[in-house]
Amino acid sequence: MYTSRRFVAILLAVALAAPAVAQVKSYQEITYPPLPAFNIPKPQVVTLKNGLTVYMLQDRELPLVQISARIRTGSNYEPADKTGLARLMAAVQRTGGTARMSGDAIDDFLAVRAASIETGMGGDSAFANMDCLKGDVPEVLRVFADILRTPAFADDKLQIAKVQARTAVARRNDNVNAITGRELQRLVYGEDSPLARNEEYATIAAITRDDLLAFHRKYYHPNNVYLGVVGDFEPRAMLRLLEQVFGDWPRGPRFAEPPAAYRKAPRPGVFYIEKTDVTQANIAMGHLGIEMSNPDFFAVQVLNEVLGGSFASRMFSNIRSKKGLAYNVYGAVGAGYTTPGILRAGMQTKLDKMGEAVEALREELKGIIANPPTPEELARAKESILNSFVFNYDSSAKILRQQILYAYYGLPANFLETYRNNIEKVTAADVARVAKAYVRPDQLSLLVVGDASKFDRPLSTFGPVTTLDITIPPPPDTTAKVEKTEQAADAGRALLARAARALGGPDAAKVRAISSSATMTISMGGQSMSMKSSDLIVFPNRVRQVVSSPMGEQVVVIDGSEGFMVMGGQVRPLPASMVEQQQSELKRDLRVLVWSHADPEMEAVAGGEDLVDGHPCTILQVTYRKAVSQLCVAANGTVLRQSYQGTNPLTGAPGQVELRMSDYRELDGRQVPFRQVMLVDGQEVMTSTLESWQVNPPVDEALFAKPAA
Amino acid sequence: MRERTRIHYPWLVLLALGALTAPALEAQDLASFEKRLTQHRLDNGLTFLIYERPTAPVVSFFTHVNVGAAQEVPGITGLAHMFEHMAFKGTTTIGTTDWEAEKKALAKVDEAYHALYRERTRLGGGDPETLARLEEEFKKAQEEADAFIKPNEFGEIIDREGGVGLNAGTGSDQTVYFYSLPANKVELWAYLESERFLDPVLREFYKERDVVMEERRLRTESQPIGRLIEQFVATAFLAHPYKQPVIGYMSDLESFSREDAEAFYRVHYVPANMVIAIVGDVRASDIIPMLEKYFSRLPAGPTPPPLRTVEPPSLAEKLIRMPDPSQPIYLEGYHRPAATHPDNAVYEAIAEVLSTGRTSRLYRSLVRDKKIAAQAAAFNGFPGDKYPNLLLFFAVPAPGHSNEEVQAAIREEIEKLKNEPITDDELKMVKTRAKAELIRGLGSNTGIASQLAEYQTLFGDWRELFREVERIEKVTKEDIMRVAQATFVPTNRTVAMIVTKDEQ
Repeated sequence: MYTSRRFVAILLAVALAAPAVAQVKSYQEITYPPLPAFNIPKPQVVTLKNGLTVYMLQDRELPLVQISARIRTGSNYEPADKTGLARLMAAVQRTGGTARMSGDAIDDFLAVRAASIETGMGGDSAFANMDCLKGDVPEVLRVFADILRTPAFADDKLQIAKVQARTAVARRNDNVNAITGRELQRLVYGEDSPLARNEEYATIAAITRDDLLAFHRKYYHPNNVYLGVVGDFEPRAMLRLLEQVFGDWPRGPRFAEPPAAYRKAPRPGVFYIEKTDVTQANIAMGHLGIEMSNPDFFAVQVLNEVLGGSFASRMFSNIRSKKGLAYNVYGAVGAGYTTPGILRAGMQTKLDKMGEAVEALREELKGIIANPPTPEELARAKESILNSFVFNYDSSAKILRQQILYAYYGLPANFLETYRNNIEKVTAADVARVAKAYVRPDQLSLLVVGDASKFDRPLSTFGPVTTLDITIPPPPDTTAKVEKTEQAADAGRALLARAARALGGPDAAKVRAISSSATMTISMGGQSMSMKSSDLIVFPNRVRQVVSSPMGEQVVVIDGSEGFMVMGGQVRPLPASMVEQQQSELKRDLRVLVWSHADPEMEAVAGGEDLVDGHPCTILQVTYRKAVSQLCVAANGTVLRQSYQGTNPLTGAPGQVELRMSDYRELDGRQVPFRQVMLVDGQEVMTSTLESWQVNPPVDEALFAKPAA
Repeated sequence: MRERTRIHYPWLVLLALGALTAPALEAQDLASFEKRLTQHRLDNGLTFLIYERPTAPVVSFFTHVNVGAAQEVPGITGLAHMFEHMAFKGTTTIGTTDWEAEKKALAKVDEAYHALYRERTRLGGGDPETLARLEEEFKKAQEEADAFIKPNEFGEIIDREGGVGLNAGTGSDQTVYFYSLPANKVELWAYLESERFLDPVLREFYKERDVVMEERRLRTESQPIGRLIEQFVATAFLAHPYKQPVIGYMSDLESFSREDAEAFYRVHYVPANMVIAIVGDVRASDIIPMLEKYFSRLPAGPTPPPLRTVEPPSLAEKLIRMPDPSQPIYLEGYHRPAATHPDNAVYEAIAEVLSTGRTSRLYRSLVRDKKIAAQAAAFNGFPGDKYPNLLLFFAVPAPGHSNEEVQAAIREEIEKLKNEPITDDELKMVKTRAKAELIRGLGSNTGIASQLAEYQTLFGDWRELFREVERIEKVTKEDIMRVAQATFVPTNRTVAMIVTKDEQ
């Protein structure tokens, strides 16, 4: 039915057809008129006296002007222990205001004009872009110039950028594609290479405002900047404006950094990262690629087109269409401007097809060497590149961007025109030769991310497996360094004994248990919630905590290596990991430290002097059964501060915990802190006010017994 | 460079077509724009919008079909998207070495598939030996049909002739197909695009279905945000098909057949249900005869019936807490009317004030001042625009901060919007931006083409793209408070969050 109805329709269409166009039966019958003549607009290039190079291209289609700066610098040139510095510099350059205007004022200024200024950092270049309606150019350009020349790097904006950077670190293992891309890069370039190293909590924490200032001062000079102007403007008036805002920017030292270092030797092998919350294996393999300046660059582009660059490429056809193994499959020899790119091939496939997929990818890589492109494949690849060539010139902004890019990387200005000729010249023999030279199956690092328990065959089928650990290193310990000498240890023991006397009283040794109750206030984003908490701690390792909040009552009991929780009448055992975590918190609890101060396993080392809220105290590092914390003890033995690597009780995220004790009052000859503030990573999360405190209360064993479910 | 990515979450569609939800130029700009635009409707109901933009010798094509996942029912979820994949597989003349023989082989594949499916779904789960035999027969039938295939010939032709940006996307509301060619090759496109929808052959269907399942594993199952969003929309909507994932449920992907896809195509891919925009270095008078010639071949058909189910009023607040080994993510959605509702401009203004740029209220409160989130945003049109949908809040808590904190801060901003008028500056900003964003959206062939086709389909008139800005120009502070008060109430809300292990 369907067929016959369509047949009638075709008859009708043919009968009614306008005579102007002949009906074709195949696309091969179509003849094309010549491509309309097209004069590629040429940007005007002017260099200001201070060395600032300006490329201008007028385009009056829309009443807009875009100005972009490319600056010779990059994250490749930041110190390894401050990885992230260049990126943060570029971020805060925009948000942190200028000598003339605060960051917030700039935000408002741009928003009412529907204008934008954005800055950013790459490996070997930085950028700053502005985009505004043409009438607003003079005033927006002034702000743009200030952001380039005199950024203020306000510290509060650096803090926001750091929060965002830490968020990215915390979440970097949530996305399996990101893991695969990043870790392959690290395998190929080496994890210490600027091309592959990670921002970490520690490297972010190490970055200061002074670092941003110094980084900016080092690189942001007019003679290191290329400026592109495109849109609806009058060139002479624009040059005058540019002279006004950039003319007195003094020249600085020329950029003279060597290209980024990377590991030259291949690292062949099989690497595995476990990720169990996925239904696919993420597969990637690679080794070093080539540089743009390589004369084989053009033949490699044709090779890429045949291998994985299009719908008709071998990988797309064989692995996606014929085998149905993947949605996304890729393979290409990458080229870099100042350092080699990466030959990278990969895909994602369901876990029980992992082995088949690895084989399929390897087959294609070996295949391109053993069976170099046929004349048909070669012709298709070259035509595809050449026929789409006009799209390199389809917007003024693109033309301008390319010209600046070539100048920046020292490629000839006619690179694109020669590109065309160079592609035309590529022969089948060239492609066969470059396949052999730049695809090296024996040097591949093979990385598989997924759940090995569900693979169709063991990963070791492909060689000995190295398991990579991608656990995110916890935030650095920002507590002061304490040097362990005999003298410091003696002083430490004495100081701890004094602290024990202050909190435990003269008969501290007789303390067996302490019960207390407090009101806790949790701060959450400007809002707060109060709850009651009562604790019973029986030395050395039993604790019972009852927390009452508007959400109900929660009881947590830890007894040695066992633990359970009661909530809403439901009894739930606590997982071993949680009991362990609670026990390590307990070993750091001030009450436990005091009770066990004479324990042979207790190590106490005194450090230097410090101030807490203006009160002098002595730093005391205590290690009790591997749990480390740092106290600051006042002359009278009261502990004013305790800090350690712990977890945020509200989120469970790791962080630097700081407890500040104050409002000490005397109870039965003991100094008890009535107020305790908890900070995590410098942010206040909880305040407790003590309501009762009893030493050696009667202990009802039933309180520690697990109720029937 | 020419990687074929697909759009699943309609918010991605929205992001990609960003300027589309934003506003417009002044009246005289519409007039000058209109001078270069030709609207042409074929007798079969197919509408063309041709915009002459001779800035470079290239042309972009954008086919917008008024069908999306919202036209699916349980059992065939994912089928609109599946057909979109099949629309790259060729025709009776493209992609085959011998159509007559291939046709017979494909009939055998269908037969073998149904035999296998019947056995697999038999009460008791099917006999393992029979299943193995049927699997083998199905595999063999496919191999026989594959022998006649010229793999990916459709894409290869476009690629070889210099086409760029060849891709397609499926959302809840629409399926779109697009690419660009050098300006002298309009006829190639006219031939290929008309053939594609006149005469599609759904070859390699079951292999492609495997590819789509991989796509589901990639985007939905292996990403925390993908898992959360699927749970979220399914809960936010009680009845409307917006609750269904565009990619489809795995069970449906494992079940639907080539005939299902063909039936879906026959109902929805009728010319009256399609709009095609052509933008670039062309002259309408030159190409209209060509369009007539090729596209008049598409048989006219009845416009598909309207969707019957209307989302009933929300009577309850809904909360989803999804335990996940990843990091917290927070979503909060409120039901709102379709994009064609007169208050649409007010909703756009609300999202703009809350969420656009560093001056937005969510950024200033959650990111700048409280430092509890790395990112916070609000946007309209989730998961689509055509039917009543959601205004969605999205926040990424900073390390050490919880979903509850970002929730409290978002609610604080919502209450302010309900109880205090926005400032003069904010209102001015919304209006200026609306105009500027419209202008910016007119800077590329692909941008213009996608917006024209989208507005023509959604509103029946592409000029609404410009009129939307006029409506934003008329929005008042009172409008914002009125709409905020009506929208931001607990029973109209669905909250979803990823809770980390420690919070469970």
